[in-house]
Amino acid sequence: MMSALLLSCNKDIIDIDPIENNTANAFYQNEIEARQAITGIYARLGRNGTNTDFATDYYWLASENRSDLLYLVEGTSAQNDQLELRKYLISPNSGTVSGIFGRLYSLIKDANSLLFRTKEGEYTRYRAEARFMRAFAYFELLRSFGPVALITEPIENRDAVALPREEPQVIYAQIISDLEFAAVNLNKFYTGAEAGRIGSVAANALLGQVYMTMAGYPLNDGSAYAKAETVYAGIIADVDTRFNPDYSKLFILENENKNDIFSIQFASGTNVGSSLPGFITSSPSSGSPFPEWTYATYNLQGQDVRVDTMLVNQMKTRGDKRLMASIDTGYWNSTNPATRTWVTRNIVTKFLEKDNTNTRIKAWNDFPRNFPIIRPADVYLYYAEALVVNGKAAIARQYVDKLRLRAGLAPLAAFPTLENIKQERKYEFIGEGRRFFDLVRWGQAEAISTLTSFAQHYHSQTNGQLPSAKDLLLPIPQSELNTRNNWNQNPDY
Amino acid sequence: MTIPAMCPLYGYSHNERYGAEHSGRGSEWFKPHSDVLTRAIVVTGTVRDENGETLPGVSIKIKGAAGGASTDVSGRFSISVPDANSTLIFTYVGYTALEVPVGGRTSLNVVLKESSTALTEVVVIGYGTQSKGNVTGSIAKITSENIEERPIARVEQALQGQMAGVAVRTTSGAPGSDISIRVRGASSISGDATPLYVVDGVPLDNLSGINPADIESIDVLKDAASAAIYGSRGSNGVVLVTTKRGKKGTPVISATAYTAVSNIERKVDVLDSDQWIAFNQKWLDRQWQVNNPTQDPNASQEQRIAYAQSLAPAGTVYGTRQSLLPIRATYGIYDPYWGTDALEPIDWQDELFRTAPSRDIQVNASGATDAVSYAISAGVFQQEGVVHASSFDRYSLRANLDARINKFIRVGLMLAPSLGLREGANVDGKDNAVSRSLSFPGWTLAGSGRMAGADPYKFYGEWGSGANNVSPYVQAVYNERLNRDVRMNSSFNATIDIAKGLNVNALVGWNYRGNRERSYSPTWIQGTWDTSVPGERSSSRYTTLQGHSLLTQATLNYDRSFGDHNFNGLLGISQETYKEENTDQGLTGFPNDKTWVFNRDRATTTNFNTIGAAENALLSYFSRVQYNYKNKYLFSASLRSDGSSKFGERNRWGLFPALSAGWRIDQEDFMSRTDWLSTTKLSASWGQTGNDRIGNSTFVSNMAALNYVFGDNQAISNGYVVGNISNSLLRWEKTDSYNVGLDLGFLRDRFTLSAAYYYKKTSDLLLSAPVSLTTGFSSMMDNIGNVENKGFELELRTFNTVGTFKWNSGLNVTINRNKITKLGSGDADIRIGQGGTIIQRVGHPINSYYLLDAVGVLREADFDRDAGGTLVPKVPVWSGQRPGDTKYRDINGDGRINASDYTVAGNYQPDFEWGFTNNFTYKNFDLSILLQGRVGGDLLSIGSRGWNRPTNDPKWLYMEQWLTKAYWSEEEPGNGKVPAFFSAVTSEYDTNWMYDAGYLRIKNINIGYNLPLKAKFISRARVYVSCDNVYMWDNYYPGFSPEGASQDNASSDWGAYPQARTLSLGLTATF
Repeated sequence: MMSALLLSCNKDIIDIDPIENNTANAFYQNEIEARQAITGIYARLGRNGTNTDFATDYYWLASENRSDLLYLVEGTSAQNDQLELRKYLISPNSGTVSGIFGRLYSLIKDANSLLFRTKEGEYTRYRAEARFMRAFAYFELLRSFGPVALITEPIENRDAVALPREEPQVIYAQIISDLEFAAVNLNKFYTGAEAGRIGSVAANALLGQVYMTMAGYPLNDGSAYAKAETVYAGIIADVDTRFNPDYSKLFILENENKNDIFSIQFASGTNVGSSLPGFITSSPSSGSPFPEWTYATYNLQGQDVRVDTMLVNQMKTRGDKRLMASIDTGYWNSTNPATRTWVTRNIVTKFLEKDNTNTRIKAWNDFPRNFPIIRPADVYLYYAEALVVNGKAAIARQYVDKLRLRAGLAPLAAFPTLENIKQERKYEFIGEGRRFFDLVRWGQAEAISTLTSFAQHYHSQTNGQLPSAKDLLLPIPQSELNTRNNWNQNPDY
Repeated sequence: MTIPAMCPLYGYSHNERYGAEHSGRGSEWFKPHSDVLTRAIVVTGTVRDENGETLPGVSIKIKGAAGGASTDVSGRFSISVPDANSTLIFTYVGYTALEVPVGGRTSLNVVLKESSTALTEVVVIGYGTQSKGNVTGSIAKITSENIEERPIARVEQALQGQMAGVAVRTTSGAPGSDISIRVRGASSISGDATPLYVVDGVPLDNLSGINPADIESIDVLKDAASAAIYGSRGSNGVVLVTTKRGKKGTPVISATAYTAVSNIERKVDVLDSDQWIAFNQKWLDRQWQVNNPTQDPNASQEQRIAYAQSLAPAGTVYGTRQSLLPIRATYGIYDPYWGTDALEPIDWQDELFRTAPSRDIQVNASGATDAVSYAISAGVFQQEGVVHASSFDRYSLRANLDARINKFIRVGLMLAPSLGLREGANVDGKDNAVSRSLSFPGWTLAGSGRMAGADPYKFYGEWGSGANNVSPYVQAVYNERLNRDVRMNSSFNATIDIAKGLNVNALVGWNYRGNRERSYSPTWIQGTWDTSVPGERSSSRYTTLQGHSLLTQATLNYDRSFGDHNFNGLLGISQETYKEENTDQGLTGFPNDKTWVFNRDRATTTNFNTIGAAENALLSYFSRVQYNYKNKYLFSASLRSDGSSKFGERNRWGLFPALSAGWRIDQEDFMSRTDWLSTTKLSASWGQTGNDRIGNSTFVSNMAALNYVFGDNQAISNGYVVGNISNSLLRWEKTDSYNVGLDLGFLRDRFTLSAAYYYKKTSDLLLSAPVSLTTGFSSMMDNIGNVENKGFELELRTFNTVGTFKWNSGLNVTINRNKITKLGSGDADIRIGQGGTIIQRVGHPINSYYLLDAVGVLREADFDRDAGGTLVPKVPVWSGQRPGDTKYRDINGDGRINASDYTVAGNYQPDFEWGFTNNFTYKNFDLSILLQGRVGGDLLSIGSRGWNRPTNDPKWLYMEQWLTKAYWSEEEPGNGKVPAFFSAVTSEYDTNWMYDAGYLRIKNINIGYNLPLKAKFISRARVYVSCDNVYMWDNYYPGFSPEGASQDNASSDWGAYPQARTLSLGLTATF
């Protein structure tokens, strides 16, 4: 019996592979797995296994919320990150900030993993998409955090913590190379069942935006304007095919992926919905504040943030049709005409699906509306801006007028100036997270003075700080600095 | 297994009370005497020890008859015996009991021999037993006596307050819930810090299926030298459970039964119904004054409404309760229902909790012949919980059979099936019934009572906590949950004697666990039943788990003495495999509310539908040598090698050595004259152990699903991302442990004292530690970080009085200091839990609390006002704070309060813990009292943020202090600790929710009476009354128990199921 027992003790019994999961080393072996891997990279921009999607965290809380479009009505409540971002009090310990930083690097890691574990020449489309996504992530990291570590292969922690904050020019070179690879290896657009995926027009449009950003503060690389113009000139005809002459039809479900160039994709009911509409105004703990618009059990998450009253008044004065397509100035608090009262509030409802019969939308983080990253208006206004700087305002005029006409405004009386373009950008993209980065791009002094006067007007009673140069970047997350000793925090944080 | 003899403490009473059961002489004791006609005589004499010293206080009894005496100060006694053939029994602590037939004499000189109980008493060690006197490690033991005569529901309860260095905590009072055991502090952060359980030589994941009545003894291996024989699983100590075996002599049948009733230990001091209205009115009055400074501050309700009406938009009439609701806070409007019959008061704690009965019946038969011994038992335990609808039933059987096949071969079979049934919704934690019973105001709409919120009643509406809420009673009772746990523990072993002192033992153990749980929540108890059709919001869930663990093991044992040299050797090999499969199905949205049984096609939403599987394996080689010279100089060394599938290929195998030595000074010749000092032993040990409690295959990089939407029709596509970093170096946690022990006995062990100092350093902590976010991950499972535990243990046992009235005491004190000494990259903090309030930081204990330090309440004097009347703080404040808000300590001294001022504010670890047992016997009565407590340590009542936090709207219920002790104004500043209920900054986590977790508790009082029986078929019967959790003194305010740390790594409280005060009446009988 003893010998039988001893014989049965085979040393191999402790070699057990996991039953439940695919291991990373055994993945990326065929077309299906490569496709699943690229899908996962896109999904980093969605809910990412958390309650908020990338658009909410980044374009809403950390961008629109810090610009001169939205102000905070009340002092304090549970969502402190949102308050602190709004009041220029954000600390390196902020969960929202480290969430953004970590998510972008997760995306980079997944792209690096796919690029590393598949071979050059195979799955070229997926590799091109992966390089686009990696470029996108580095671009946003640079814009928001300044120089960061450049990582292009799977990396272990001990190697990662040794990397310095790379020179921005080096990171931009990688971004440009990635986007150029994507642009030559993808079709212009993808539609039907593949709608929502990156095409070459999107890659070029992002490349143009990268050049426009390099041209502005803080890099101030003047040569980039010409590069931007060239890139935009090459895609402008394709962009025209996606232009919808009716602004109010841009943000509706049935036109999704028809009038844009690249959007984050959402669907409700299966943990892949958008969380943005949940942040449009203050909320009771349960129930719906807008019973006319949302299903009975819907509830909200965000703070009482409202649109700058002066902006609303200016747009009303101009007769700008983009106002009512982007903003509601109030709502009924009940569906019962006998008892309801009108609540007056300027809130961004652009991404709210107003349908109180839609029972799939039950939660604040479960909306079907896509969030646009690049749409034709981006290309028109960037292109126009590059043309004006390059002394070609005459060519730029048509693109500015195209958007003015759509907004119900008269064409410009003269060639567009930079000031005209700045104004159009502000009205065109309300709620889309462009404004803060524009202000930064246009120069430190202008950005700080614009944000300061806004803060003085709205936040003198809510104990906020006035913005300073430090606020043009987010702080490097403290959790990141804790793991390494070779990075300096962004100045004054 | 050798029968554990009795330790000195219990030995004394043992001979008196339990001799019949254990000594095997029971049949003689009650042998009827035939020559009853002889007359009584008086016997006198003196009792001396071997050195001729007289012994005072020696107890003398007459065998088989009532009556007794004891010796006086000069060792003399006088006793009247029924006849000249009587036999006297002399017993004395530390001496062997002596029976002396009177034989017609009237004068007796008796010499008692010092007993060598310390040598004969046996403790269970890994893969064997050892005489207690020769133990060189640190082992604590309790025997069946501590368990049998007191009603306990679970094995672990028997250990609470009994052993130094073994902290037992009842985190949840829910029937059948697990009880936390920590041996010498927590030495793991991520890994489980629960000790390894080994029942009759077979490791077991959980003791819930074990019937306490089946237990002969529990031995806890505390130091690494004892536990290292369990290698990679010994770091957190090892609990060895030995079940009863049959003993030679007359077969014994014993039956025990008790019945008990339980109530909650205490209620929490929230506002009662009337106080809640007073609180609301006070707040609303203030709202009126603050929002309408131009108006009469004391305006009546009519005046307030009239004023509001004067400012109302055209067409708005404030004529109804509904129309007043939106202006309630602005104009300080009272609910028109207050003071009317439309509302009824209710006490939610009274409604949720009940007086709950429980009962337990045990039958046990055992016996042995030369060839066969058997112990078979059956137990039925039925417990209802103090929360309505909760219960736990355990049905268990056990058969332990041992047979001697021939001169060389012995075999044994153990079978122990059990069935555990748990019923009742999960009431612990966020938004569940227990926390709801503290956060709902004590009013319901008339007629609804405790069914408020369930069809056809609505909950007290927007003037209170909201119309869509459901009463905690309904939550607890009508959310059905049934958990069935079938366990089969079995083992077979065979021992073959090969040569003198040499034998080989083979063991095969198989543990099966089949667990099924179903839960069902119908639509009619959802708060939104009125906007739903039946079934729409119903959900049903069914999970299963099947686990098999198989152990095969062979050991070679050698035990021999050569003159004064005593050897014991062990060589072994074992292999353990574990396999499990689980399923989880859950659906929502049914056609109706009629049944929990569902068909996927009929439901609208699938919430869960998974099948899972896991397996792991452990292969081990182990050896041990024990040697002593004349039982004086003791040495022991062991070595184990473990290979585990849970770790990376490069670190799969590990070595776990241990060394220990002891010196029994009392055995030295020079000690033989030292009368006052008896047992004297010094011991020291060192050993290395491990902890392997992490998931399977965490060392490889796995792909995790992350889906995305593509296409015009918004179709979901399967996506995969790299889910975790691989770590091929992943290995077990390693603990180096040092132990120094001293055992002393005074006055022939009438007082014994055991003291131990230990130092445990755990390195290579299995930690999900932060890594650079640039890796794409926030954390990685890695072996980084060190934790140390050092502590001091003291056990004192005394026989205070002997003779007819006997009193003995045991005191144990445990001091443990836990500290993290190293963490991952750059010692970065690790924060977990609600709001990141639990922190792991170097230099502080595991699971410390990370909070703002509240130092008082901000007053008007802390501010200036500028020309515009705006407050300008003179002291550091959180942005936006006003008088009445919590004043925080400016930790970093930058003149303002923000997230950088969070600090390590406390932790749950006590300064020390103690237990104090007292046993009294007088004639047929016995009484035992167990006191137990902890001093120091804090508990974060994280859940009480619901009912113990300023929210500036008193719609929900709050602790009484918010009415009576809070800041309301400069004129009514409260006690200086409780901020204003209308505070501005209310969402930070601060020390206002951290309370002293020290307590002193009368844990148990047990009074028994041995019935003086005439019947011949029954040898002994005892009735008793016992009360558990008799009374507690503590400072924990916003929750039920300072032991209720159940949330966030078991370090904070969120409405844990309260503990019960239980009163039981029991009977034990032996036939």
